[in-house]
Amino acid sequence: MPGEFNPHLTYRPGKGRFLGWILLAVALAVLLLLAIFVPPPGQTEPGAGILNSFENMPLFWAAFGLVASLAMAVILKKLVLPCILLPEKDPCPPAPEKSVTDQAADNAPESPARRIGGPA
Amino acid sequence: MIAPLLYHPAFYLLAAALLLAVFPPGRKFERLAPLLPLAGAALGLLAVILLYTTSGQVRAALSAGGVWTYLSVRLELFRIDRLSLLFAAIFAIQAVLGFIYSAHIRERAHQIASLAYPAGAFICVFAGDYLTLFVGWELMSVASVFLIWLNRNPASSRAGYRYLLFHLLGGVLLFSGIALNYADSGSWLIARATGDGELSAGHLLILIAFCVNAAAVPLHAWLTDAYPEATVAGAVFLSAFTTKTAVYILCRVYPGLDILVIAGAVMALWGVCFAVMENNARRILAYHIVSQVGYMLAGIGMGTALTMNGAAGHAFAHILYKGLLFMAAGGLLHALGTADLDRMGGLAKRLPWLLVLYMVGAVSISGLPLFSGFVTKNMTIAGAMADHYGVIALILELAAVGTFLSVGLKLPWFAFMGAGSKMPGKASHVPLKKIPWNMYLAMSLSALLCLLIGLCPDLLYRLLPFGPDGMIGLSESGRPDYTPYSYGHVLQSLLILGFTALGFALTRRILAPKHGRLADFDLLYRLIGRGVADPLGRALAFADDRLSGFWRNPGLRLLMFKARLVNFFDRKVIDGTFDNTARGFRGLGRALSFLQSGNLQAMVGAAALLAAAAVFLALKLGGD
Repeated sequence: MPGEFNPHLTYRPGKGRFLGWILLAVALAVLLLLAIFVPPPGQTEPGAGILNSFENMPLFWAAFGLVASLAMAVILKKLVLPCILLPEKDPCPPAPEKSVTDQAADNAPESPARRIGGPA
Repeated sequence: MIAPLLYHPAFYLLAAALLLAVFPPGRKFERLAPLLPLAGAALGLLAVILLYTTSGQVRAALSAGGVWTYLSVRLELFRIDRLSLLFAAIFAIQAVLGFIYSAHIRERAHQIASLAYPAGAFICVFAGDYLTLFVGWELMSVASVFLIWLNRNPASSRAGYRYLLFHLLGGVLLFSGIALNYADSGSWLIARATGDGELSAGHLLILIAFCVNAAAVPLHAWLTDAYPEATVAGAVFLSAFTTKTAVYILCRVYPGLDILVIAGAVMALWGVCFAVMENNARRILAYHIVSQVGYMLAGIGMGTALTMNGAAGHAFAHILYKGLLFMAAGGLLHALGTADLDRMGGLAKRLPWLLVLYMVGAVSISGLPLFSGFVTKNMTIAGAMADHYGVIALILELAAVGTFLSVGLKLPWFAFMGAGSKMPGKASHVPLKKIPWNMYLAMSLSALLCLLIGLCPDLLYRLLPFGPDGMIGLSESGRPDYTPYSYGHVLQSLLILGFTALGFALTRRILAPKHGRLADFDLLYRLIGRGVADPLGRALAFADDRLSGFWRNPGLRLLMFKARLVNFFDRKVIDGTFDNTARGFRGLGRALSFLQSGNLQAMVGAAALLAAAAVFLALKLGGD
């Protein structure tokens, strides 16, 4: 159908999941091998401060990415979110309907002031 | 004065807005509504290109011609240097893209607001003095709020009012700062405030005002509250101009201000943390504006040539990819009627090109090599590392992880891939509204530009404004001494992003979106608002109660007495005078009509009466 991709390129739950894991594992393995065996020249830039010692570890950024993403997901979604999640509604609700006392005031007998302004 | 105006992009946008405003409705207007704004924006872009291609002498002449003395105040409407040109260029590009995206809209008010908003941004960018800047700022505030209100639902109305209140507060702070600064220095000119000692009180107020517009935490909640409630096209415009105008001013006035480093790092992390938890796609992107502007503020605060160029370049790239992301999220909203992730899923097959275009924006913001974010964001981080800001660099990298996790993985996964949906009939099966071709065209052009900058970073680097000494160049190239595509940079980015993807794959069930609204600083604003409004309201209610009591008792009685007095006077004096006069005239009339009746007996009787009266008078007078 025009406007749609070849079905082989689109996501199909259940069928592509395993392939996705394999591809991710291969890509990460290649990156790790590169980081371990072909470290970037001049990795430590002058004056990099506290990062000097970490950056020289070949797997630092890999571990950083994994740990940071796991920590963010778990801490934020499991610990923080339950504390700050409010029901979905507009934070400033519209003016409420008139209260019982307001309605009673509306139905009260006319004051002298209203009588003056009223018809003779 | 006329020639410089023709080079000013705001002139064309305001002219188009004026034409649209006065054009009579009808079929011609229907045809003109999409073309006129696009033509205005295209002419604005052409003007910026001409400014880039003119020589330094011509620019100086244009700047001099743009000086206008009004009430003995020297206003500089047209300051042209590499910094103003860079921001004008990206504003003009984004205005054109925005008007292509909104070309199907026929609503006059929407198009006029969309034109006036970037016009205000251009006025700010080229302003050489604070008064001109203030005019542009207020024009932006007023025009942008209509892009929220025109969504025409209760939530957008209330969000628009809150947005307007916040920007009015910013305007008051800005004007107070400008006035104090003038009292201190005797000058209205916009000049660097940092470098010699502490900030003056005026500059401090101006800084706070611009931190409001830059959405610095904790002054940011107006952005995440209002932008998701704007119209589909309005959000694209909103994502580009307000915060980046603030970044431009901070670049110009406050380079090297340490507090901005801290503020930027907090913003970068705060934005992504909320984006990871948020459910609404457009609100996720709004939180990422806060985060990405944080990178820019950190770069400005460090104040070296590399970080300043990184901030300016990142603003350029950010406008493009954030515009693209808002366009794609707007496409989802347009097609599906909702931007909530928990109501989406399984849309990849039905909106495949939208997914592809969204992903270009997503990997750009995440800093994947070959895309625009990689060549600009890393400049600031590298500058931080080189300038002994190791912890800040680490925080910015952490924010990069959160960015990829939320915008690059979570949002597309749950919108396009995830099969679960709570909507009746599921998002993967509900009928979708067709996305107009012009929206796809604007997204495609934005995606191409993101890719172009990523592939050819020198195209952008040549435009960067700051020279090796950190000063703004007038015409010479500010090409930074930075190579983005080094083996180390590419490998580092791929490792971070790759292992973030692994982290997402392991935790995607935890990251499943939950319906609800996150309590952010807007909750605090409302608490403060209530804290102020409640006692004030009670005091006013007390005063009102007392006044009403006075009115009901002595006041009302006094009034009743006065009314009775007036009533008596009215009845006895005024009415009596009029009534008796009328009675007298009535009797006279009757007598006259009686005399004119032609009755002989009556005439004789009257003559006898008159004669008797005459005799009586003669006798009376003669006797005296």
